[in-house]
Amino acid sequence: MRLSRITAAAFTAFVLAGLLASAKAQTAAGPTTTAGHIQSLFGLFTDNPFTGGQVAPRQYRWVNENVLMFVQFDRPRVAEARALRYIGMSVKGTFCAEAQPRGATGGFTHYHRLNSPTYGAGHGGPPGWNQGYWLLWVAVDEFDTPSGRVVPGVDYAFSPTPGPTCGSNVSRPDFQGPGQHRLTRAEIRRLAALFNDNPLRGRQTAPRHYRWVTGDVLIWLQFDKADPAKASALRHLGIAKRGVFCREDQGHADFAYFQRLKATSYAKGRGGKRGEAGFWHLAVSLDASKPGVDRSFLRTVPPSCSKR
Amino acid sequence: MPGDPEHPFAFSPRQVTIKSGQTARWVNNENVFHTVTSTDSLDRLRPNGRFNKSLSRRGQTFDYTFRQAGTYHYYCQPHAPFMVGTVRVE
Repeated sequence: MRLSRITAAAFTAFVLAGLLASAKAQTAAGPTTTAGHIQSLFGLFTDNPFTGGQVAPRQYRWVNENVLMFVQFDRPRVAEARALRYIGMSVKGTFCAEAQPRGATGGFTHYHRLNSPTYGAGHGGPPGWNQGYWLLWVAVDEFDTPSGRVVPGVDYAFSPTPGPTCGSNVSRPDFQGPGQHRLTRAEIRRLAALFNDNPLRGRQTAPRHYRWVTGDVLIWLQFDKADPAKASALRHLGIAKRGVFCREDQGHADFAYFQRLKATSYAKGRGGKRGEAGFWHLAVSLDASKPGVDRSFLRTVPPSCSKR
Repeated sequence: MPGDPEHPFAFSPRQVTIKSGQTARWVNNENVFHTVTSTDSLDRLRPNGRFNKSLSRRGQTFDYTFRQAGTYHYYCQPHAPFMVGTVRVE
């Protein structure tokens, strides 16, 4: 009896592994990050939201008066960078547990002060400090860090600065960030022009803009309008990873939405048949009133592929 | 530890040996946010739940009494991987 259970389990695992490999093979791997692409991204993320002389090891772009998005490479200098490691967001905030966006486990692991003479001295701050930013990192690749192996998705262990308890009297951030502004229409057009890959087949035209960054992962932007020429704001950024429509392949629940590879229209491509190839999406809301991972974004519930 | 731009902060001394039952005290001697976070290994810096204290300003302290002999590693979360230390308890 015990042996037959093991055999059945092994068979199921074997079938599932074959299903995943077969479906993934249908989604051709995207191009990896090139030196030219790295320079292009550096060129679009040129804002510095800090004062005091500190230099962050990542590149920023203001999205609106309270929120920035960023890209972070394996090396902080453009000439030395070889791969994109993270995308993410910063939102103005106060260094209190009560003011940490989405709480202690919501992905905003790090608080950084607006003003500091060096970047290393700008982490965290006194309880209640209200001139700084909460940060959330989304890994776009798989790599090793001092705290362990990181896989695509929110890095919930990135440089934690636990928020102190401040009580009921939590002040709101009240500073003007250097260069803060809403994205202009010209900036939106430039961003959309760089995010010009379409990983979807059939006659699918997604209302977002993709860019391959590894063989398996794309980063994407979604504006308030599908046509960037008509858009006036950036609503979400995120990553999409190749996969199949199976619960076993979803990975973290942050990957809430699946779009199949092939469909006759974008609307028909949401979700899919059991085991179908496509892309798992993780969405990050850039809305300052509700920033962070948006698990309600086009949520699709996958079936189990281990059932027979 | 000023003077080293790559590793601007450190626990000093980085290693200390005490007797079982003695208390170690960490003192923040600058206005920089640090944590004293226990970890099972200095090769894989993950909180192990033994202790994790934030010291956000100059003069703040953290005391911990080690009751059993052994080797106890710790690090500063935002200043990993260079800001690490070890307490050996005899």
